Amino acid sequence: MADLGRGLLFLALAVSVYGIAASIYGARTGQRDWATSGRRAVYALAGLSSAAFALLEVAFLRSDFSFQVVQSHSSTTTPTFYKAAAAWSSQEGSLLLWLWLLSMWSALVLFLTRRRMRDVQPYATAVLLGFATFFAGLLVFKVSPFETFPVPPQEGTGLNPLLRHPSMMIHPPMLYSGYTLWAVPFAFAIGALVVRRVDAEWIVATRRFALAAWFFLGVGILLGARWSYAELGWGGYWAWDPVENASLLPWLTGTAFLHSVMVQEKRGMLKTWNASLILGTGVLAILGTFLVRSGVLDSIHAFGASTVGKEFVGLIAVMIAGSVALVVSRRDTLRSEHRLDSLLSREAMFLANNLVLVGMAFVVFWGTFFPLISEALTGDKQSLGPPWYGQYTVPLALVLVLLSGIGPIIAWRRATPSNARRNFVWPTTLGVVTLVVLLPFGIGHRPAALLMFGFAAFAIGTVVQEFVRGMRARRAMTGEAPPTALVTLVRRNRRRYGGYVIHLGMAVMFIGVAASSAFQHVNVVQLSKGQSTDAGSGYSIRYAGPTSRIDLSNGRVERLVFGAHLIVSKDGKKVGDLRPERGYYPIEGAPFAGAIGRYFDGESTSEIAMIAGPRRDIWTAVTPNLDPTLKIAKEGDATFRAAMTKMPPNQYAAALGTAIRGLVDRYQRAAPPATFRLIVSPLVWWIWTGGLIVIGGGLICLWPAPDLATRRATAGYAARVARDLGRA
Amino acid sequence: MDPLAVVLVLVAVAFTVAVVAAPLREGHAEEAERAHEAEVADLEAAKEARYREIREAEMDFRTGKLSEADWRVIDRELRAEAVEVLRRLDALGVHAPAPAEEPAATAGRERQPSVAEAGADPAEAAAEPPPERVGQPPAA
Repeated sequence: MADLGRGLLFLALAVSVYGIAASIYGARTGQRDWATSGRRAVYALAGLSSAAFALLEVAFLRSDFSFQVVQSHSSTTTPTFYKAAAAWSSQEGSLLLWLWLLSMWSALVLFLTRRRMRDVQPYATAVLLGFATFFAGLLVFKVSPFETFPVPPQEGTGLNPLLRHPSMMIHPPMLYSGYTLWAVPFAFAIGALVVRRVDAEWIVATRRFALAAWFFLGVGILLGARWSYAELGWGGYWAWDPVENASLLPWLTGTAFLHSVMVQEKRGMLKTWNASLILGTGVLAILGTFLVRSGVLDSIHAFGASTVGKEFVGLIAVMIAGSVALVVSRRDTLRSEHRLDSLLSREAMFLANNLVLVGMAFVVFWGTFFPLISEALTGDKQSLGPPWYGQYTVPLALVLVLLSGIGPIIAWRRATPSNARRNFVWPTTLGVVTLVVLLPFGIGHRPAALLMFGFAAFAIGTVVQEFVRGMRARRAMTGEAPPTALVTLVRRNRRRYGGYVIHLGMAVMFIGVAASSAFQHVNVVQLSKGQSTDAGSGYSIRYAGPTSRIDLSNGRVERLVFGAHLIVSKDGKKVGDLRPERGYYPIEGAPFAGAIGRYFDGESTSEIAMIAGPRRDIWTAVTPNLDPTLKIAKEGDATFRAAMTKMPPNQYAAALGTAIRGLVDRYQRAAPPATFRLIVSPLVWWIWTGGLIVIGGGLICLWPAPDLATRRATAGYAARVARDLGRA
Repeated sequence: MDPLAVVLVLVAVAFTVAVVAAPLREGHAEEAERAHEAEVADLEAAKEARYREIREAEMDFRTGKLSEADWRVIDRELRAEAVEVLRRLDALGVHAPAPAEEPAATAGRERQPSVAEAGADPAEAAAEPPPERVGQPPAA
């Protein structure tokens, strides 16, 4: 099977190189059959990489430890659910996932546009295949997922326990889908610049892919935030970690691009800006993959050392140099068709929104790479923490939310006083009323949060107003009932109203971010059984007692779990129970580890517990004090080492099982005080709800329009009925 | 090396060669036909884009985001562009159903019929009354 995998990858590399040559030859000589052959190379690549990826997945699901990558990232005790995901926890598997997703998206876009932009398409094909060549080359020559052991080991080292979370099944493929999908508009932009066809057509042809890239990357970021909140045991959803930032960078510039292309489509403006934005976004998407896989920056996501850093730096350098050269050489063609009429216009608001988003991206970029910059300049590697990011991103986020409200309701070209009166009165009133109502609740000492609530209310008001006005316009024309008018309105203007729903979701998210950041109570306390503590916001938490258990998988010990039972109350009334835990995974492949001690020498993960709701989350994590347990385990190791040669294997295994069970039960009977991290955080629930609203809006935008031919035929019949009725 | 793997790799090679070499074997007659199809597809896409922009401009006008003067200028420009696209489609021998060409047919008139009932197809909207701003008197 490994031989087949290696053969498929080599063939994928060969067909990619051929496709580049055929596409460029076809484009330069005008021989379309060569260009078509190049396009078909992408289809073949999709088939080959699908087969290679399927082979790797089968190896993981079968726990085939003859594959080095399976042995180092899975084990027989890894639940089947996570065995499938373990493929992309490895560097080799994630690079193959990249190649597979890239080939699938490339094949789809080239199939859908096979009869369009025939001058641009061959160059776009060559660029997409250029990426494929890079990744296939890495997989063939540097980090093959199909390397095997001469003698397969009996057991694997297992999947990193931190990655055993349901969102990890979806989070990496979502992020990688986002990264690879950005390659599509990037490639078409390069093609359009090469042939100097810089009207909005390449944007229209690839808009859905740009939207999909933005959508998948956003979903990936949201899932990552949820994983951080629920799995990492520190209680936050965003840590400004380099790898988190790496995914945020193309998302920010991509968001800017999706807004500014509307100005190019409507007014023929910002062509240079749009080309630069999408080229920059493409570079940042590769940079994101580089940061995840290179280990160049310290990150909680650095799950393994990488050997492909230099190659990525080379690719990024080529992309930057090529992009700059193309934009500069085409600057005459990229000249705007119109000038900005007024600073009080929608075009100006889009431009301002773009500057804010790109400004945020710059802040994130600077903060992310500051350790490398400081090391290069001073020899000392210094990191920038959340407070540094906050001082720049908070004001920028405030402006962004305000602009997200202004943008949809301000007039194109030039806003007039009557336009302002008509469109701004109600949303502004809502924003001001929100500020006035909230002031008496004592949140004035957090002006940034207060302003965010007001601006978000304003933005929500504009969205509601747009829906109401659109529905009324629709009703005035068709006489439809309000619900029908609303549905039809959205169905027939998916991009516009899907975008408004996204604005609504983002406003809700920012309310959650502002509240949970500004009004969070965090306590780290040590409690003995029966003790209580004040958790903040009037909540009291009592340590009712320790808990412990052994989790089994396939009849073997997967982990030992030590935790606590906490009772939460407020004003003397019980609110609920919390059972935070910490799981200890046995170390695999360490022959000198003790018979009992090996269960404490491996990875450990925090399983948090929380009571979540629309008003607040009560979040807890526990760090059990295992010193007495480890002391006993050490004594047990010595005893079992001596008994190993004296006892029959079955008897030895039974005695070991009894000893471990006794150790785990003993913790429950006589646990020392444990350390708890207790957080009461308001409105975190709004972040996830806002995220779901954003996803809903994204799906509305992405949902395919009804088939063109069917619509045309229906329209023809409708007009005929209207004409016939007119004659009657 | 696993003999089965060798056979399967050879099958993959044959499949790949068949896929990528097919256009080179088909010849140029079909290519001319495909070029025609591609041009038509580009123009159809351009036509749909113009129609969508006409509808969106009217929606912006109806909801107060475009002044009537600006809307009329934009609308006239877009309709002229749509007419040009339709002419080029005609020249290629593509005759779209009459209703779909409605925006072009009305271009250049002093008072244009509404084609933009909140995203409706031009044909559907052709039978609609002239646009009115919501909550305001009809546009002059």
